[in-house]
Formats: sequence, structure tokens, C-alpha cells
Amino acid sequence: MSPSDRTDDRRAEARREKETVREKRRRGEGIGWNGRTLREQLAELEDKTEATGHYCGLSELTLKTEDPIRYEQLYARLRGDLVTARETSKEVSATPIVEQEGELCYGLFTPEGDSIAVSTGIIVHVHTMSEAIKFMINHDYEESPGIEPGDIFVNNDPHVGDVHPCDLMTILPIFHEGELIAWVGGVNHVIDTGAIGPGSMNVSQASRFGDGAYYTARKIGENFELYNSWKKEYPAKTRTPDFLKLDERTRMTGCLMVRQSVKAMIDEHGVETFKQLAREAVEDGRRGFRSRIKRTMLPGTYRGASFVDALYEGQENVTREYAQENHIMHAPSELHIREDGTFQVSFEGANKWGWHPFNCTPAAIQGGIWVMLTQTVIPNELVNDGAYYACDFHLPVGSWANTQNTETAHAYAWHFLVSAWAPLWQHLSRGYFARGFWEEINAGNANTSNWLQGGGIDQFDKLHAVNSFESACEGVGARYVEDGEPHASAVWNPEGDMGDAEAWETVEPLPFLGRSVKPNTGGVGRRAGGAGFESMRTVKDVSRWLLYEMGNGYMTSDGGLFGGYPAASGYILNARDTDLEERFENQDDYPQHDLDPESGDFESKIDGEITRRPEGISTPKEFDDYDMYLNYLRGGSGLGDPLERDPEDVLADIHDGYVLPRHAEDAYGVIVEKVDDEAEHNSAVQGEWELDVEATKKRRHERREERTETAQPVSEWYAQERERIRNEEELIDDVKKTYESSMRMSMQFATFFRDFWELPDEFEFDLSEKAQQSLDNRFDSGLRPMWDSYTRGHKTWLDVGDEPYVPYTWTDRSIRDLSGPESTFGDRERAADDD
Amino acid sequence: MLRIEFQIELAGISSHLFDIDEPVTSIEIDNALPVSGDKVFLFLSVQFNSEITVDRLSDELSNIEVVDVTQADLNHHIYYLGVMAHLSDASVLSLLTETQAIPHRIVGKNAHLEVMASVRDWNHLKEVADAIETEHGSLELLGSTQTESIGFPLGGNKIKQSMSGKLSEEQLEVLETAYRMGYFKVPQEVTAEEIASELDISRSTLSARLRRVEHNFCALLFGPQE
Amino acid sequence: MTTIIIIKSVDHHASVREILGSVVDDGERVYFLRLPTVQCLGSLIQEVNPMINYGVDYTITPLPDGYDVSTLVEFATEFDANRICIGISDRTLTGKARIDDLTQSILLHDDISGDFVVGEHAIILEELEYGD
Repeated sequence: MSPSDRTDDRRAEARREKETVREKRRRGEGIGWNGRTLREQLAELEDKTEATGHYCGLSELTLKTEDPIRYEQLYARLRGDLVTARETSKEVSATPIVEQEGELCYGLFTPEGDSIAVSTGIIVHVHTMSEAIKFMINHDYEESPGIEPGDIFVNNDPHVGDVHPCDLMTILPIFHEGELIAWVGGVNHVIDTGAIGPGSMNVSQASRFGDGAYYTARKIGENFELYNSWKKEYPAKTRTPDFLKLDERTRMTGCLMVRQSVKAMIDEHGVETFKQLAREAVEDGRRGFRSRIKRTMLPGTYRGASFVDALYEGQENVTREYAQENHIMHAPSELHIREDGTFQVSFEGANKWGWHPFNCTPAAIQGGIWVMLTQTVIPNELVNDGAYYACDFHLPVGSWANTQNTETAHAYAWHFLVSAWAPLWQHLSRGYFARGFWEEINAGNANTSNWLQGGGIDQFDKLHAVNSFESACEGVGARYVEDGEPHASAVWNPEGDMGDAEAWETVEPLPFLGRSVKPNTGGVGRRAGGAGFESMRTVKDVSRWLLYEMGNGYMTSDGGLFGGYPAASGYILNARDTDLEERFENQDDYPQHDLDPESGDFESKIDGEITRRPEGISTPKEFDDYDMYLNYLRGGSGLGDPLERDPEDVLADIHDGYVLPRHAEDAYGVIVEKVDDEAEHNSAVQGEWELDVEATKKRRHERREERTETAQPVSEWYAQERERIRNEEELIDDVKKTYESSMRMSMQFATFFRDFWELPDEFEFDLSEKAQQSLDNRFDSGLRPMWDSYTRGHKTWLDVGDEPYVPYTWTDRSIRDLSGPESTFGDRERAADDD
Repeated sequence: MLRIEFQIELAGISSHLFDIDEPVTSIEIDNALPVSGDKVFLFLSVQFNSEITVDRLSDELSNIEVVDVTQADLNHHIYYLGVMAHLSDASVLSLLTETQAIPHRIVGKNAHLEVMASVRDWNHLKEVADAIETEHGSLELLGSTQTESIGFPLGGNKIKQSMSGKLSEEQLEVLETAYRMGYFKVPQEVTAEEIASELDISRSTLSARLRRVEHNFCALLFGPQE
Repeated sequence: MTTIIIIKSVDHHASVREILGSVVDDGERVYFLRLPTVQCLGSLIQEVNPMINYGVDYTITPLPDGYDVSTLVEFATEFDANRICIGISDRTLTGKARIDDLTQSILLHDDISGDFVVGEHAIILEELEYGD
């Protein structure tokens, strides 16, 4: 059968199915199961799930219990078909983002929008697509614009269900005999969203109006055919229309493949079996998550905090002057584990949203934490929304983690999101340690950057944008029993890698001058964090070309674990107006790396205007041919005391390019001696070193002595710090603003902070006028949140009524003593129900 | 016990009255007394939408055996009629009583007869509805409420109804306050000053209102003052 | 025990709360019967959460367009409903629960009888018995 025959068949089938659906609707029936509307079905499901503690009240997994092999076969088949759809369809795309990195994911969802199974890939969207489907259901899309067989929907609105707008999702309903029996969704990261600057995640906008196009859960086609209005609209809203068209075909291809698989399974096993499987898979996922938590974690409250910088003072091309302000994200993180396996994450005390594109929505946070959990708590194929039902998330409204304000920008929500994960890795690892699951312990990911982005007129004289996804390849965190994998993957895409340089060069006018492991980037420790890598890029055959950086700069967002060190933070290295062309012509030496930023090596090999700054973010700036740009991808966190690392491992680190020789002593107390200048290893390192065993022993002994001498009791350190805070000594305005913001955001955090440091009850930081102004910004901008009717899953972050004005301390929720086994934050909700 | 409200097509005496030339707004059966044979003595309040004279009305009602016509004192659009009617002219009333339902109000207006009655239970309701539908065609149930007692049957609450209709809110308030504070007890338990103070009005206002109340009472009892 | 709750309007929160709170017993089976005048009961269920707040198991069923009272009585007979509850949407001038055509048809239907109770927000027909 030819592809066009297949398309015709599919459309004919859709028309037949549509007639059945319309007939049902004429009879007053909904498109859900047994005549219900989808919204009724969702409402009933949520009610029964919460009332019984089992997904949809499913206390017995009959299919699984009665025929476990068949159950596993059916589930594995669904999962396998999803993976196949991804692997096949990604070849349709023309961007290396999808084709090389696999920034693509498919999910199969229940009619109510809960994921049954997901493919590999960017499985953050296991839950974001779920939210988008629930949004359509809860806002009566069944009535208008209608949900019918063959319909196609798109979404990229983070307030509806997405992390950031560059993740475009295609969602299709699957019908059987007039009933909507499932949804299939596919999502991929596109190359350009038509933001105010080129690239998928621009950084120079103050508000969402600079983020690019938002498509809010829209119907864009029927009978498996896109509307002409859509085909004309979206290509005009991006700098890279051809790429986006192919991305859409990618998603459509995968969705149709999954739909076909579901249809085949129903034909073979009957619709009732499919329905039962769908329900049981989610309940099975919920139980699996709970039981794994019970088995591997120690009940209790785990606390930590992470920070990351986003500096905008003095940045050029920021869309609003008032956005030229420095930000530090503050993520106080609490994880509550109870004996019954209850898993509750709270960001109480998170500071306020800001005029930057790093704000998050609940869908982003939940999806984001999700993908992290899939690599820790659920390291198997049984990843679905069952786990969502096993967790509570507390995301204070008005904070960067849950703005509930459609004016806020979200283009690179990941900057804060990835950084906010760091303590979660630590919480889990501490639990695993306590229970003896040492193999599971991981020091965690670092900030997954840099993001090379930009655009202009490219080598083909076309308007273009670039978004290098080499960042899908970062060093990962050290484990308790092994070093972290160097240049391996990013936490948000476990299958990602750096991609072929040649593939990037076909779509980016940015030839590679070199690519190398980056020394000193993995956190040091008994187990070292995986090293990052770097690519030295130049620019060729462009006009009006812009590039910019994005990532952490002054601050590391991870913390290391059990005495290990965090990964190295970022920096910016560019060279403009260079003599690179002459050097090529003269066959002179030119920089291929920046292996040792302090060595002066780079500067010695190029003439030009060199920018080397300890910051991570720059706004779009002009680059021309033969200018240079360092794309430095971060390492992972270290674990354990570096003085306990086997010196032979440190020597191997030097030869592998993970550690600079002079840092072997600084960081590890390991003394090495160069014995050969010429020897080469499988790295950019030239030379051979030998370990001086005796000198190392001596040095390590001395280091321990030094530690004893300089160590002080915590009580003394605490007293010094307290005085420092009380007197506001050596505290820059940005730090004070961060804590002051958290204190104003949360009465509980303020009480906690003042109690901890024994500060006066009325203690406030003395802020500059500018910082004060920033915090006094009205929260309520008059824009309504996107959701008019929330799901019950939202209740844990919706325990406030109206949006508050400054001062915006509004809650009576507890930061510490969260009660009740089934829901941490549900007390207020339950009280309200009794009203 | 259930209090029900239903409506049927106009019938009987109401139907006759609505047929006269003068525009009738509503007709209510205030009371009915049995007369020997198939006759019944009906007392009606008939409201017109404008003032007409007794003579004019008497002319209009020449086909009906009118025993008495009195124009209401306070509302000249209302006439109290005593008529000698055939039982079939009050068939709804008869059907209700025959089925042991308790009639409360039977009002003809808006081209319908609206009826309020009490029934024992659902089955009784069905029985009553069935009897009425057999006689009068379709019946439309308008409302229902649960009740513990039968309350005022047809005619039984006439004094209260009349007083309520003929005394203003202010007059009723004065009367009730005075009554509850013991003004009408012998000896008086409260002075006029105390009542005036309670109501936050002057003593002269209180006195004027009380006198009007008494006047209206007398008008109701003894008819208009000559 | 089985109760049918006839829903004429998605705003019948108070009626459903009264029925579930003071009429229906824990563990009873409840059918929400959606009349064609209501497109979706989703928001009502989300508001009331019958299982969380009242511990009742329930099913939502639409009554097809063009239904008549016999359809409803057939449904009640099929599920052997002990109770039919109807929300009060309006009151007469004298404060009585207004009875609409459907309610009247049920009340005056030959094949169904029992106790007729008028509550604050709902009309409750219980101890139902069905004729032939």
C-alpha cells in the first residue's frame, strides 16, 4: 500500500469515526467512556483517585494479577511502539536538535490526560503534555472547538502545560467506535520561536511578550490535515520556517505511528483490555513509585538550598531598562518522605519571579522534577503519570517557581529549574545512603549549559537561527561507587550526546576549530564529577549575525556531596575582529581550545578584541566572519573527600584531560612530575606525568594537618556568620535582595531565617533603592492565570485565594511540620470542603 | 404532608366572571358554604383593573345569582361578592374536598385557575391530580413544599389576610410592638413613650398610627363608616 | 441502595450537596443522570467531589435528547433505584419548590410510587416501588 493510499484510508476512517461521534453528540452523549464528557470523566477520576488513594479507585490490578505475562507483554508493546515511533520519526526532522540529540518524546495518555507510557527522549514531557490535555478538557474544548477523530492540536504555552515555548507539542485524540480512548502526543525542541532575539531560548526579554509565539492548546487541523490558516501562520512566526515544518511532520509521523499501534492492539485484544491496561498501568506506576520510595528511602524531612546567578546589570539590548537588574535564584528545597512512601517536594521560601526569561510554571517544575526522578527513583521503563499521583509539589504562587502571571517570561525556564534540582539529588542520595543503597547515590547534575544561540543571515544567505544542543552532553554527577560519566548527557535528555560536529556545521555557519574534554570542570572528590567539554567555534559567511551565551557564571548551582566539590562554574570567552583569516592563510597556529583559562594560551594565539568574563549570560551581540566563540559545556558534581581519591586515578585524570597537572596538588594533594613532553594520550593533553607516591603521602598528610589547624567548631563559625548577617557585613545588594525577597514571599521562611540566625523579630535587610523598587513591584498585573478551572493535582500549589499585593506574605502553610500522611498541603483544602 | 400548587384551565364561576365585559384581574374564592341540594354559597373577592360602580357591576352580573356586592373600602378595585352558585361552578373545590385534599386558595387569574391545597403524600397527590385531570383536562403542577400542619384552610385565614392587606408595614410594626410590649394588657405593662422610644418615633406619630390601625380594624369589622 | 440524581443544571451544587449529605447513605450507589439541558457535569463534580466528601460511588449517565418520562422510569427500573432526587432550581412566589414538566411527569406517572419529600434544595422521591 502506498503512503498516499494509507493517508486516504486514514482520512476515510476519520470521517467514519467522526460521523459516529457526531451521532452520539446529537443524542446528548459526550465523547468519553459510556456517554460521559471528558470533563466528567476527569472530574470523576480525580474524585475517586483522591478518595480511595488508588488511581481511579483501582484497588485491584486484575489484568496484571490474573495474567501478569500478558500484562507485561501488552505494556512492553506500547512502550516499544512509542520508542520506535521516536527513533523512526526523528529522521524526518532536519535539525540536529532532533535528529542528532533526540530532543523529542512521545507519550500515550488516558482520555483524562494521564500518561500511560512514554518513549525515551525528553521525558520531562511525560507530564507537560498531560497538563495540556487536562487544560483542554477542563476548559470544555469538547464543546468548543470540539474534539473529534482526526483532529490535531498544538501547544507550547508553559502556563498550560510546557516547560518553555520552544518545546512544541502536537496532540491527537484516538477514537474507537465513538469513544475517545486515548491521546497521543509528541513534543520536540524547535530551533527558533520567533522571540525578540534569534534562537529558541532568547535571554534579552523582560516579559513573555518577548518570548516568541505562544500557541495555547489550539486545534490546528482536522481529518489528519492541518488547517490552511495554521500552515500560513506558524512559519511566519519563526526565523526557521522550513525546520519547523519538518519538526511538525516529525511529530505527526510519530503520533500517527503510535495511533496505529493502539488501533492494532485494540483490534487484537479488544477495547476493554486496552482500557483496563491503560488504567492499571498508571496505578501500577503509582504503586511502583511508592514502594520504591518505601524500600529505598529513610522517612523524614530532607532540606537543602540551591542558588544560581542571572546577571543583567549592564547587559546590552535588554528589552526594558528596568530589567537591567541582577537576579539570584533561591530554591529552598524540602523533601518529605513518610513511612507510607509519601513523597512531597516543597519550595516554600523561593524568591519572587523577575523580569527575566528563567521563570517557571508548575508544569515546568513538575515535568522537570519528573525527568530527574526518572533517572533516580524510577530508572526503568515504567515511567508514567502514576508517579505524579504519588507526589505532592508545593510551589508558592508568585515565586519564580510558580508565577501564575502571564506577563512573566519563560523562554529558558530550565536555567532555574535545573539549578533547583541540585538539592533533590542530595536529598535522595542521603536517603539511599541511610538505607545502604550505595549504588544509587549520585552527587547530581550541574548547570546544563552553555547554550550557544544566535542567528542572522547565514552561509546560504538565508535568515536563520541557531541553537546548539551540544549542551545535551554534560559531565554527570559522581556516584558513590564510580566517577561521574564525562561528557555524557544532560539530565533532561538521558539519551542526548554532543552530536556530530559535521551535522552542526551543516546548519550553523559556525565551523568547529576544536572540540575537547574540558579539564577541571567535573567537581573534585573521592569520586570525581564527570568532566564537561568545549567546542571552539568561529563564524563564516554571515551577515548581521548575533550570538549569545546562557548559563551559570559566578555561581555553581550544584553543591557537591559528602565533601565532594561542585562542578566548575561558567565563563564567557569570545574574540572579535580577529586575525584568524590571516592565520589560516599563513598556516599559523590558532586557538583550538581554552583548556587552561589562566594560562594565556588562547590570548597568545589570536589577536583581536578578546572578551573573557566570569559570567554565564550575555544578551545577543554582533559577530562577524572569523570571530570566535567558546562553547563550554559543564561538568558534574563531585562526591566525597578529594584527599581520599586514589592518586593513580588522579594521574589518569591528568592524561585523560580531566584535571590540569597543577590542580592535582591543589585539589587532590597529589604530586605529579612531568617525564615526557611529547607523549600523547587520547585527549588534548600533551606530555607524560608520573606520580610521586611519597611526596603525595606527605602532601596529603600536610593538608590534613592544615585542615585541623584551620578548622573551627561549628558554633564559632555560626556565631561569626550570625554577626555578619546581623550587621550586614560583606553582603552585596544582590544577596540581600534575594533573602529579603524570600522573607517577604513567605512568613514561614522569614520566621525560619530569623530563628535560625537568632535575628530580631523585625529583622529586614537594608536594601538599595533599586533593590527595594524591584521587590515593591506589584505582583498583580491584572492578567488572569491561564487556568479557570484547576485540576485537583494543582491544589497543592493553589492554597492562596486572590493574587496578593506587596507586601506579599499571605500564607499560613507550614514550612516544617507538614501533617497528614496522604497530602502534606491538603489541610486547608480539606477544611474548606467542610465549610 | 405536602402543600401543592397547581393550575388548570379557567372553569366554573371564575370562567363566568372573566366573561363579563369589565376587565377582571383576579377572582378568589374566599369561602364556600353548603346549601341544600346541589347549590353552594360562594364568597368571592373580585379585582378589576379599574374602578367601577356597584350598579355597573350588578348590571354585568345579571346572569349570576348575586346575593350581595360590596366595594372594598381601601381598594376600590376590589368587590366582595356573595353568590349562590351551582356545585359545578366550584368543581375544583368539590373535587379537592371529595378526595380529602384540603383547599387553601383558589384564584383565577392570567386565564388560569391557580390552586393551593394540602395532600397527605405522593399517592394522595396522584389521586387528587387524577380526579382533577379527569374533570378539567390537564393539570400543571407548579410547586410543592413539605409541611407539618394543614395551616389555614380556604377562608380560615381571611382575617389575617385582610388585615395584612389593609394595614401598612409601619402600622403593623406599631401594632405588633405595642402588643408584644404589653400595651393592650390591663393594667398596661408599657407606656406609649416606651413604645415610641423602642420604635424611634415620636409619641404623636405613634398615637396617630395606632389610631389608624384601630380605625381600619373597625372598618373591616363593621364596614365603611357612614 | 441506589439513588438517581437528576441534574437539570450544572449550578445544582447545593442540591447535590443536600442529597449526598443528608439523604444518601455512605456506600450507596449513585447515578447522576444528566439531562440534555446540561452539556457537562464536570464542573459540578469537581465542585462537589462526591466520593471524597460523601463517600459515595457513582456513575454519570446522559439521558438522550428527546427522552421522555418513560425513558427515565425504564432507567430507574433497570437499576432498581430506591430513590430519585431532583434539584430545586426555582421557587414559586409563595416559596414552594417549583415543579417542572419532568418532575410532574414522574410524580404523576402510574408505574412509580413511594414517598415524596421536599427538602431545602431537592425533591426526593424515595422508598420507590415500580408498577408493571
